[in-house]
This record gives sequence, C-alpha cells and structure tokens, in this order.
Amino acid sequence: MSAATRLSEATEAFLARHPPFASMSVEGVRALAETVRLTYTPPGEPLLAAGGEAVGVLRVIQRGTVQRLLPGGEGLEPEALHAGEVFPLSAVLEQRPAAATYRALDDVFCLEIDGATLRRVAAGSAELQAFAARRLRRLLEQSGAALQAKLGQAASTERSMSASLQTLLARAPVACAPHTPVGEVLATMSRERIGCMVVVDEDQRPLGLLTERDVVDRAAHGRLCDTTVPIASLMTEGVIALPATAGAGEAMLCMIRHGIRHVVVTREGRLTGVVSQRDLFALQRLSLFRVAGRIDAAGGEAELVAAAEDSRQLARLLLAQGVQAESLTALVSELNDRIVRRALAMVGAATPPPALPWAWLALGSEGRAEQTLATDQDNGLVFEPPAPLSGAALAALRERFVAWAKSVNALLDRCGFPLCRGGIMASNPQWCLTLDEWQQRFGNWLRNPQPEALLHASVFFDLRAVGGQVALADRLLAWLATEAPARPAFLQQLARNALQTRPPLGLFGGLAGSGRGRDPAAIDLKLHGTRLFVDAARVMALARGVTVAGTVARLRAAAAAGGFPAGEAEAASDAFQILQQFRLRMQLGDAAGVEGEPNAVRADALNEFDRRVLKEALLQARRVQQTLSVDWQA
Amino acid sequence: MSVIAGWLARLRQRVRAPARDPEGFDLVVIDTETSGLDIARDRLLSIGAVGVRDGVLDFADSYHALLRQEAPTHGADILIHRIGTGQQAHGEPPAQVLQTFAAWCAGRWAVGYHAEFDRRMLERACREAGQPAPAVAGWMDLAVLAPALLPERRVRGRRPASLDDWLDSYGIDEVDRHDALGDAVATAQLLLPVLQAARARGLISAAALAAEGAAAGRLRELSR
Repeated sequence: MSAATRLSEATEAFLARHPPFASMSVEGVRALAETVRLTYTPPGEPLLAAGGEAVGVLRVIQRGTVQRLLPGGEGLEPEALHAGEVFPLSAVLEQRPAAATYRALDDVFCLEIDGATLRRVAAGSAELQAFAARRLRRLLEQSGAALQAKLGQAASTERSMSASLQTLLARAPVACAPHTPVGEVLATMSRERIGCMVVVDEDQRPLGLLTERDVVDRAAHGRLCDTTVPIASLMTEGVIALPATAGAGEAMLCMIRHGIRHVVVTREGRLTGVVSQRDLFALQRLSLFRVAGRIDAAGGEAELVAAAEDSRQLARLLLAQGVQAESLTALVSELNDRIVRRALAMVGAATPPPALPWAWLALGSEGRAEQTLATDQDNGLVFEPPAPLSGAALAALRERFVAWAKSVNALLDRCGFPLCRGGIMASNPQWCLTLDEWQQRFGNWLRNPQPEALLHASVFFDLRAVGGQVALADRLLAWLATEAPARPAFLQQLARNALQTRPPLGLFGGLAGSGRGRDPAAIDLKLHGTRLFVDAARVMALARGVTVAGTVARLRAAAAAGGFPAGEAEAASDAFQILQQFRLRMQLGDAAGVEGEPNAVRADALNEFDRRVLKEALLQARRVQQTLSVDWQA
Repeated sequence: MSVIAGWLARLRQRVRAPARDPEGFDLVVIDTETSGLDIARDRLLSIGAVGVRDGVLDFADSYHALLRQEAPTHGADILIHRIGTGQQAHGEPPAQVLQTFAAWCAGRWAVGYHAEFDRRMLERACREAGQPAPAVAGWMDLAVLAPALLPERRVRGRRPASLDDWLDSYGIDEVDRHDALGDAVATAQLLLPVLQAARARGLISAAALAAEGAAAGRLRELSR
C-alpha cells in the first residue's frame, strides 16, 4: 500500500468519527480524505478572517480550540470550536467569503479539505447537504445549550435526551443475512447477549428484525420447531429505523408510539447499530417511560392528577437539559394524549358513553402535536349512529354524549388543562357531532370562506383522533383530503388570511415590536412567529390533500409533493422550531419575557446571539410567506 | 509536451511560492528504521517521509518503503524496529528504493529529528547499493531547531528533551507511530510550529533556517 493511501486512510478514520463525515458514505469521506493537508496556527493568531475572498478550503480541527467571532458581536461570548468541528462549511459550499473570523485559542492543528472536492462530494451526498442546510438547526442547538446553562442544569451528570443515537451505540451492530438458519441466529444472539438480531441485505440495509420476545412468543405457540428454516421466514418484516443523528428523545418517542423495545439505527440507509429501551432508560431518572407508565396505570383521579403534574415537570426538566422544541412538543403531546386517553377510560368506567362508535378529537396545537407548556383544551367529538336518526332522537343522543364529554373536560381541567374560553370543547353541542354533521360543517366552511369559517378551519382542520375509534376521524380526514384541494377559492382566502400577519421585521430586516400589548416593543412569538409557519403549512397541506397535522410534517410533505425546495422546507422547519423554543423559554420565565404574556419576548432584552437567531427565524417566515403568495397570488 | 507541461507546473509553483516567502520552504521530513544504532554496521530497513510545503503538511506528498534484506535481522532488534523477518524479506530491492527516494526528494531540504543519523544511514545504504546519495538541498535537525526556536516550550513543567516530549507538548498523539512513515508524519507535525516560529523571527528562507540550526548546533556542542 502506498504511503499516501495509508495516510489518507488514517485521515478517513479520523473524519469518520465526526459529523458531518460520520453520517456520510465511506466513498465520500475517502474522496475528501485524499485531499487533506495539515496546518498549524499558534495561539492568538487568526485562521480565517470574515469577508475577503471566497473560502477555498474546509477546515477540520484536528487538535486545539478555535474561537469564532461574529462581526458586530463585540461583548458577546465568543463561540469555541473543538477537535472534530468543521468551519466554514456553508461558505466553502457556496464559494463565498466567511461570515465570521476564526482565531486559534491554543496550538491549533487543522486538516484542510479541498473546496472543489468538497463541492463535488456534496453534490452526491444528501447527508452533507442536509448538514449544511441545518445552519439554523445548529443555532438552535446552541440556543438550547444556552438555555441549559441558564437554568443551571449544565452540571447535571445525566446525559441529555438530545444526545445523538450515534453516541449511544456501544457496539458494532450484529446482523445476519436473510437465509441464515434460525438456529444459528439464536446461537449468535445467546453468545453475543443481544436482545434482537437485525436481518440485512448485501448492502447492509435492514430488512427485518427478530427479537427475544418474538422467539419466546413463537416458541410458546409451537411455531419454532424447525431451527433450520431461514430467519427470513420468522423475522418481523420491515424495521422501524432512525438515522444516527436522531436524538435519544426521538428514539424514546418512537418506542412508546410503536410499542417496541429496539430501534434500528442507520446511516444513509445502512445499519449502524441498535438502540434498546434499556440503553435509553439509563439516561433519565424521571423518564418518559416512567411517567407514561404512571399515567397508564393511574387507578383514580388523584393518581392521574399527580401523573399529569409529573409530565409537566418532566417537560421542564427536559427543556432545562436542552432538549429541542421539536422533540419536546412531541413528547408533551404524547403524554397529554395518554392523559386524555386515561381520562376517557376513567370517566367511561364510571359512566359509559353511549354504545356507539365515537372518537375524541384533539384540535389546534394539540391536534398538530405542537403543545407548549401553557396549554388549554381544544377538543371535539365525532360519533356515528347506526342509521339516520330523527331530529329528536339525534338531539337526545347528542345530549348523552355532551353530558359524558362534560365529565371528561372537567377531569382534564383538574389535571391541569384549563377549559377552553372559546368553548371549543367536546362538551359544547356545537362540536359534538356525527360524522355527517362534521362533513356538512366542514363543507360549509369550504364553500363559504367567510372570516369566521376561516377562523374555525384553522382550528378544526388540524384535527387528530386521540381516543375512541380512530377510524372515524380518519374517514373525516380522508373526506377533507379530497374535498379541500377542489376548493381553490377557500384556499386562496386561507392563504390571504395567512399572509395578513407579516413577520415583525423592520425595513432593513431588523426586529420590530408589535406596537401592541403591555409592552409595545415586545414581539408576540406565537401571533407574529410560529403562527406564520403554522398557517402557511396548513394551506400548503390542504391544497395537496395532505392530512398530517404537524407543521413540520406538512412542510416536508408539501416539499415532497413539489411545493417548494426540500432545503427550504428544512430551513422553515428549523425556524419554526426556533420560535417554539423561544416560546418555551418565555413560558419558563426568561428575563426577556413579559409578565402575563406567555408568548411575548422583548427583543431588546435578548443578547446579540439570541437576537440574531430570532431574526434568522423570522426571515425564514418571510421566505415561506413569499412562496405562499406566489402560489396563490395572494 | 510533457516536458513543457512539467516546466510550466514548476514555474507556476515558483510564482505562487516565491523563494523569499518563508512559507516557500520546500521540505521533506525523513525518518528511517534501522537494525540498530551503529552507523557503521547496522542496516537500513525502511524509509518514511512526508513533504511540508508552504508550511503545510501534504499527506499526498509522502513516501514509504521497506528495503529487502539479503540476510534478515532476527534478533532482539526486531522488538525495536518492529519489522519482522518475513516483512524484511518482502521489501523492495534497496537500489530501486534508494533511486525512487532520491528522485522524490531531489532539490528539497531534508529534515529529521537527530537528522545526522538518518543522513549517514541513508548515505551508507546508497554507497552499498551503488547509488548516488540523495541530492537534497541540505539537511536540518529538528532536535536542534525545535529547542532553539521554541525556547519557552514546556512539557509537564520542564523543557522537552526528546522527540516524545516535543510531541507530547503539542498533544501529537493520534498519529499511528508504528513505523518510519508514522514517525515521519509525527515529526512533520512538530516541524509546523517550528516553521511558524522561524517566520516570527524573520528567518525567511530554508538556507537561513538551516544556518540558524547549524549555529544553534555549534552552540550546543560548545556548551556541553
């Protein structure tokens, strides 16, 4: 082997341990490693200055600490980059000058990767492109870290829920080919002391899974007599996988949602490991599993109220640990769903609802699974009588459902979900309807897009079934998915409505207060922030017959349907999460918040970094609105 | 055609890195592995080297070869140079190795840690193989240059006294130092801060740096 090959392999091994290279294909990393050269910069000396010429090389810190200084960021805590971190990725990819100045803090050795090669490799690497497009995401991570430090939890020895799965993988994956005899697989599982075996194709792409539990179940049913059959005949086909860059929180949520104990971890579709529930258990004292378990096991009202309080504490704890808004709001929603289901079961056990198919509908932010900490009830009920009923019989039936729903609403109120002041609750006869009635009402809004109809659409079209017969809600959504795209007049009005509020940016792109409320200089992060994305995403989704309710999922689905570039969808998703994160911070009592207004932030009370992040996020809102206005000439 | 292309490439390189530019230094860091420390009797087993140009270590510009031994060494020295008997027999013919190596480093400055040892081992091996000695521009010793140019450097509270000390003081530890190439890369990493310090002192050519090294070497001889 030539000297150059050997050295480039050693470099490749170093790069492969760090993002974004860690998630790239071997070939891509190799091509980059072949161009690598090494430089040294003594302490205090600049490595790269802001402005100037387009940056020709990507630097990877091999050893030492580099300070990143933003122009105009005087008085701001400079950011420190450590071994394995890269800079300035976007500048090299976009062939432009660096936006920041980089200075060596100590003896700094940097690997330099040729820019032209990087751009060539990036063109074929979705992972690298995604990493570069996630500049906002990294800002988000930093703002999460800042929050963590602020709440004094940094010293916590518990590993954060935002730890990437990559860091949790303790061992190389154990996998086998589909034709491997079951007996051999079991012997390997026993020898390697693993709870599950991943079956992969020649490309290391996961095909299926065989867990200890599967084996026990199958043996119990006498279906495991012949150990010479190939594992392919016994495995559970299709695996639930997450990328190595996903967080521990995502893996927990995934397990809870699917009721599984193992999540397969992949990199560019290829197996890199398996994370088990036990791996994740170790992360938390007050864990999602435990709180979820306590909710499910609550035998009486007092226990449910206590479990609900636990879930709020867990949310605060996770937020303090720097968990991002995306994971956090999803976790909060998951726990809230469980509380609702438990409440439904509890009330149902005392006084059963009418013995007909029904579904409990979560609406608004709850329907989108985007709840922050301060949240009141937004719900409805759909039921289906076996045959068309007379007016009087239907009214009597509704009355019984309403009475029952009233008990549920009251129990949820005692669990810490205040009653909806606007009366959007299942106990309101207006929102306790048969499937036909819901369709009529929705159809009415679609045909006559009056202001009130649009307002209602923005709450009710974000529906999701939480309890009862989910299929009922699915039918309603399926109906909406075919009906909405055929109503351009409605969609155009909805788009116009979505564009009525503009991001609070001044003429020159600076932050501008709303001029209203208790503090006119404050920005309403919901009304002038997250809402802009939520409203735009709703129009995009409805127009394409997309029925998922989450804003991020809607943006991605719209991008997948060719609505706008995927990169823009990701950037918009990140910006939305940043604003959610800011809202959570304010709700936790940030100094830049405004007393009594949980969504307000005073931009002048933020530090330079936060202001910059907030501004970037709002600029992204402007871009999404531009896309929407072009689409709908609105 | 290729002659003209090569000439143009060299010319371009010269224009980009003028001789007066301190980073215009064109250096090769060399490490040799031998059957022992006796310059007159021990044999050259392998050569590892890497180029440092413009103050930048270029991994692609590197060289490594094992020299085939007529009578492989197999004593306790294997524990030192870690080149087993089988590997020694599998090396390339010495004349061929030394010829390619000489062509690779011709005209460039050679740097080593205790460079005198590497130089004499190489020159003797060339003589024995009937090859001319590598026509390098000259030799520099990092064991002399590093303390002379980095007098403030400390490791665990004292002045670095060996290559390992110097590497420790810069945290150069992830290099795979199991053979001549690994050692050459580690040594070349130490050369980078030395070149920085040379530039800070206004030593703007390889010749000036070599002169500084020679002076420091003589001073050290005298003070012994």
